[in-house]
Amino acid sequence: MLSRLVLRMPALAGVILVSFALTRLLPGDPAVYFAGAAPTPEAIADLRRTLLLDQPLYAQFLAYLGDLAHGNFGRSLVTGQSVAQDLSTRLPATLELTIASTTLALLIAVPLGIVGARQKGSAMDHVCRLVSTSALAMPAFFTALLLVFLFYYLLGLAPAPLGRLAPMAFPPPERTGFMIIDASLARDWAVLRDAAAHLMLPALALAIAGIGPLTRVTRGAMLAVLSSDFIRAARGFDLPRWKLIYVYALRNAMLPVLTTAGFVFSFLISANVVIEKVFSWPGIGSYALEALVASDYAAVQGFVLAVATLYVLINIAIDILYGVIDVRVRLGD
Amino acid sequence: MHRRAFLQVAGIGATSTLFNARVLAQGSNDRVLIVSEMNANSLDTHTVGANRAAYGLVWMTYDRLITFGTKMLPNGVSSYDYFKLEPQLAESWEFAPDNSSVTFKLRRDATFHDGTPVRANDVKWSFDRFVKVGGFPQRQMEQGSLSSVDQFEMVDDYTFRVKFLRPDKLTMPSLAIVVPSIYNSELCKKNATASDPWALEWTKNNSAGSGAFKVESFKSSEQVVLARFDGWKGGKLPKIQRAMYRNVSAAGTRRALIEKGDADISPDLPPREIADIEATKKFKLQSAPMANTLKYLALSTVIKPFDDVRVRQAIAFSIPYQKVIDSAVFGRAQPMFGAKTDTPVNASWPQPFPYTHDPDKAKALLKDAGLSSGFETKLFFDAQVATTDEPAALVIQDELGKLGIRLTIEKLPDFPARRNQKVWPMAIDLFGAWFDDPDFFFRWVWHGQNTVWNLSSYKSAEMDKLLDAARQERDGAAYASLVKQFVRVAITDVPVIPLYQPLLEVVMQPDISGYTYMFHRQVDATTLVRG
Repeated sequence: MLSRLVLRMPALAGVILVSFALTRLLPGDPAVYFAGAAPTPEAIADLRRTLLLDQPLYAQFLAYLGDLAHGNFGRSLVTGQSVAQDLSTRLPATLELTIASTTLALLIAVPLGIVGARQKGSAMDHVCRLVSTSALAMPAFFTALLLVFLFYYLLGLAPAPLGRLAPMAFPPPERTGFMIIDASLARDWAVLRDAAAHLMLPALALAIAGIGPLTRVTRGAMLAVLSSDFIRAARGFDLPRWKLIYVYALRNAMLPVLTTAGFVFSFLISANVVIEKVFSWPGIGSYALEALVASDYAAVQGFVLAVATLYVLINIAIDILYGVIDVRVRLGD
Repeated sequence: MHRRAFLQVAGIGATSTLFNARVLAQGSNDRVLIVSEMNANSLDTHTVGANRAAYGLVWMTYDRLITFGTKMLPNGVSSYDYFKLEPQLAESWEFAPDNSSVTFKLRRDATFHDGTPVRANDVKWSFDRFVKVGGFPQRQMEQGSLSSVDQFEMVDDYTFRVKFLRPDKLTMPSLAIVVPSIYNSELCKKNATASDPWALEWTKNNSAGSGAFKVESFKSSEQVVLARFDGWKGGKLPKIQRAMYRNVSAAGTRRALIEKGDADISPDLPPREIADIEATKKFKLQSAPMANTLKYLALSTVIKPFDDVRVRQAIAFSIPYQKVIDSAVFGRAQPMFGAKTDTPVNASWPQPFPYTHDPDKAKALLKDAGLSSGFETKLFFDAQVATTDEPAALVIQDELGKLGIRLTIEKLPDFPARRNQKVWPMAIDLFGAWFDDPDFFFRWVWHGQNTVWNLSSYKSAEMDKLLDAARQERDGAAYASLVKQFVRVAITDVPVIPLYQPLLEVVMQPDISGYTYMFHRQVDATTLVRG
């Protein structure tokens, strides 16, 4: 675990450098954006001084590195708060949503893929393909609005798309930042129910974006495994069908599915942006978007660094899972 | 998913919805939920980067010495009255005989939210603060000639004097905008540090005022809950006990919330949604022309061929103004074209320019300028307001195409952060000024001091002379004459072509009344009434 982390340090160092350089390449000037209702040249000059933008680039970079070393990510101009604080309150919201939707996507996609593989060429297979293709073809923004229209506006089944809890509800004491976990820890079942209800629709909207690739990969992998020698041999031994498929075949097909699940998870973090907008979800996606528009350097850098770290962690987690699932990987180590 | 599991999940959803709807409805007579695209990013307008929503918030949580009165607009919507100053924390004021200062007598019964009485030393501290913290507060107050701490004098506990630097008609209204709010100086000093002597870090997330509402909870850019301050002396006690401001980025979601009755007020729906909602006749719509605000097309006077005034006039004659208004804002705006004469008949602002859609005149002017075969150029606009500006840009592109002018449209996501670059041949933009005096608006857009709002990089000695004179002038007739003169110059030189004056349209549930249009364009919960 530790060696894996060390190996990926250069990547993070690169991300720090590149995110700094890229934000400085943005054509906008944050001092102009934030100069307020009286942006005289003097007001803009004042702000540049306050934000250290009048310093040469290398000095700005050194100051940034110095801050990072002290765990200081700088201050966001859009929210007016420290980036570290913004990220620590918003990242759990995004993660909760992304984990829920990836899980949901897997729960829908894997059975679909298995059915498709088992009954290759049948009507069922075509239905599965239709579902996965149309799920892939629908833009997340559209699916999200459609779900809101259907389940909130027309049917009234879902709560108002106003973030993680009902507007006047009292949030549970914050321990993990994950509303579901915090509510459970506080044994506040009303809030838990409320949080779950609010999570449902955005998670579904996001999951739909991930169903396509996961179904296809599951189906492909299952097809390959089902036609391999050891399955033929297992069939010869007359093993029960369910055991054959769900234990032997599925486990062997899991490897590409897992890789794709990692990709899908990473992809869903970025797809979050639009979902967060529609559902007023207080996550890091909408945060990053606003920061980018305002050329809010510290917030953009902090966001990029946080997501890069997250990707690194996901990669490591998947590496470890490979070992759990596949004996060859474990022995190869 | 298993059928049973699905049913369970669906069941959870259904019960919780019932629960949610009730939460809001409980005692809903004294609370409102306001959903908008932007939410306050600070509890104090003095902090760096405080946004427009923060102005609206500070308006409710702090008091000023004086405030604006109210008036009725012709369409029956209530609005602030820039020309009527009323007492708030000051109960009266008096100008020195030689007009060198104004002396305020403070109310003796007003207290801050923590119960501390409001005294002249708080006023002195607050006024010194906006000068000393620099940045926006300082620069804003400079506009009204309030720029030195020596101007502010505490006479006794309840008497406060402001000395004038020069005669400036913006000085008094400057005292009624959000910047010179009165802070609880003792409370702020307790939370100040050596590196932050004015406690900006603290006031960013904490409120220290005497305003109509106390801050009950604040999540930057996300949500603010306000609770009525029952000891408020700065005006008539609000009927609303709790007001919640919530950020909802997607316009479609805001509309759905209003139509379902889960939100009470939305102040910033796009014109298309407004038109749809108005057609249902189920909701109340309060529209007011945005005071001193224009949507315009700026032509750069330093980029060819717009350095030639004939080309600029040709463009002004080639814009189908009504079509722009119809496609951009569904006809929901005040027209700013087709004035009867070339010379302004009065000193009001904004007022229509005499241009109309006249392709023949445009062709003749282009021919004069030696450009009868047309040219290529670019039109920029802000992606954030694409719902209105993109249709406008397309109409303009189409129309100019007929004159051989080939327009490339550039939609910029970071438009506001690039205004100072002044490299756009044509740009659609909006400017709104805080003060109703026409010369104040002109100073930002047409004056040679070349602020970021002067996208045209326009500089004219005549214009500057007129504007500088108007700033000093306090006499009604002379001022009116100056206004007519500089509007005339703006019409002739036409670096900026007004497209329309936008409306601020606020949609609310039918049981809500008492809405008042405010210069900061945010919803003021102080005057709202339910039921």
